[in-house]
Amino acid sequence: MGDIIKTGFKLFLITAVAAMALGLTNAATANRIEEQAEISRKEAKLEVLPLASEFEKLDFIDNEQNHPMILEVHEGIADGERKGYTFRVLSEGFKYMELYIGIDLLGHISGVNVVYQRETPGLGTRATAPAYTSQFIGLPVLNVFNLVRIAPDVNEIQAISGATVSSGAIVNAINAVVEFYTMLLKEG
Amino acid sequence: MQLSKVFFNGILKENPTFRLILGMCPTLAVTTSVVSGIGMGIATIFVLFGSNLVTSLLRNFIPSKVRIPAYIVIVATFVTIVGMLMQAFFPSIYQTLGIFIPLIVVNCIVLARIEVFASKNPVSASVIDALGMGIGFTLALILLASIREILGTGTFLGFDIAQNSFEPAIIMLLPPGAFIALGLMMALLNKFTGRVEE
Amino acid sequence: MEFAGEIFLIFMSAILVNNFVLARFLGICPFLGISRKIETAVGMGLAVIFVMALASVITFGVEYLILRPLNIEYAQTIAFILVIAALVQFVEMVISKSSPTLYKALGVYLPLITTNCAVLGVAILNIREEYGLIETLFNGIGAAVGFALAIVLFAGIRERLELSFDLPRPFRGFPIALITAGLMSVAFLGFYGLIK
Repeated sequence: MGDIIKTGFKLFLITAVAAMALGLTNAATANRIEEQAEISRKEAKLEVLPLASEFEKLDFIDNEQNHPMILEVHEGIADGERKGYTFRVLSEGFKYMELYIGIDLLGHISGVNVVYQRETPGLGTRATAPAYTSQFIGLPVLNVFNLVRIAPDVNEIQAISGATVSSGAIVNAINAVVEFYTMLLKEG
Repeated sequence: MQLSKVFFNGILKENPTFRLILGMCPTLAVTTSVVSGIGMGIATIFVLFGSNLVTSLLRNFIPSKVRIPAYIVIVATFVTIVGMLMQAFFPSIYQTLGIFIPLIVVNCIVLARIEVFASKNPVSASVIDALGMGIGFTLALILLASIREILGTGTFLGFDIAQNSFEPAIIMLLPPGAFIALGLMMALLNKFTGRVEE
Repeated sequence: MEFAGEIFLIFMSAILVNNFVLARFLGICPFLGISRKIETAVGMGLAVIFVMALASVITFGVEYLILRPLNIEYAQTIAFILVIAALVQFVEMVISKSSPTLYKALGVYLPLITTNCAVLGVAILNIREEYGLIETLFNGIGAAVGFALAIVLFAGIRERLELSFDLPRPFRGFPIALITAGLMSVAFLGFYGLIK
């Protein structure tokens, strides 16, 4: 009996020391890991608004006016001048996705960058790929876009067949930004 | 025991990849580029070194009945630590290696060296063995990764080598390329070292 | 109904399109080392299916009921591998008591399931893909079936290979095994189009 206790205790001791080592390392690296996450978030914004070099979060927005899909709005700045805005949007597709959308000072979409998605590989993921999302670059942010199946007209976006839901998610995200941006302009 | 002999054992005579046939999963998976190969190699050396060191230090303390769980705890701790360090200081390599970083804990090389060597040998020999095995493994990774990267992407360490002189064979980056490249390399090595299996 | 379709997709994908051995490189060591006789391969495959299914579900519970609430996600590796080691010990005990013949047949391969990267691999992947409980279970079973399929096929090929022709001596053993695996992997690449 004493043998088992001794054995168990030794194993416990090893595990306890291991746990402490892990806790210490975690404490030492957690900050740095968060910094890295911050860097990659900035890079995601740079990709949709390449003209800017710094980003400032806009906090003035009233909660009631908040469009529920818009998670964050940043102002893009370079050389002390405003260059445009970036929007971090949450959109529901097959699962959900997070994307950054950039708008330049001319009121055109400057970039669409899907940073997180869980759509169906091979189908829905085609909607989140640059080949599809890049079609929005340069389009004016005046009216909302409609998702159609074939032969898109002006302000109409063709859905990828077999990936209607995911394509819709992208378009919904763009539209959320359109509505929000229009509202932002009115605010001044 | 001659330490230099222990060291070179891990690199040549008992090279974990080509002779002991251990650690195959990461060898095939991360060798799509030389940089990834080096990254995985260094992470594994770290884990090997730490695990061998601690196990050897505690070799008389760890009760034999619970040695497997004890080894697992020790190795898993070092693997988690190296993972956190990579995430903090080398995030791009961390992303590229992905799931294979935590999988170092089941890299047969680590557990095999602990069981076979570190648990029975003094600290100085054990850490040298760890270094030898780790470097041997890393060299194997670099060798395989070089072939796959040069033939599959036309680059080496990210630098364009092909200069459009040939069309890269993407199959080298895909699973079949890994298997076949490693198989051919082993066959070649067998031929040159005269060692064959009956 | 769509949920059932998604589960089926995950299951078939794990077996064919993203075969754990031939596409994801998980479980290579046992794949190369064990598969020389079909019977052993089948036994190993069944044991792995059992372990991976259970491991998937239990590690799911550990992650969401223990690690996340206590904010110690970084202990995932150590927690998961200990769960797997304990599970394999348990399965060993069960098999040795209920079917001693099977236990003897599997021999040393049973404890080796602990170091099978496919088991720990699928547990971690389930969490990374953010699967729910049912999806986790089916992904775990699917991955294991894929592994079993791969090693049984492989054993069949190798059995014939080593008996049939005069293989050049440098190729004997692991080199030809790897090349065979490579050719199998090419065949499985053909399944990529299945999911579209």
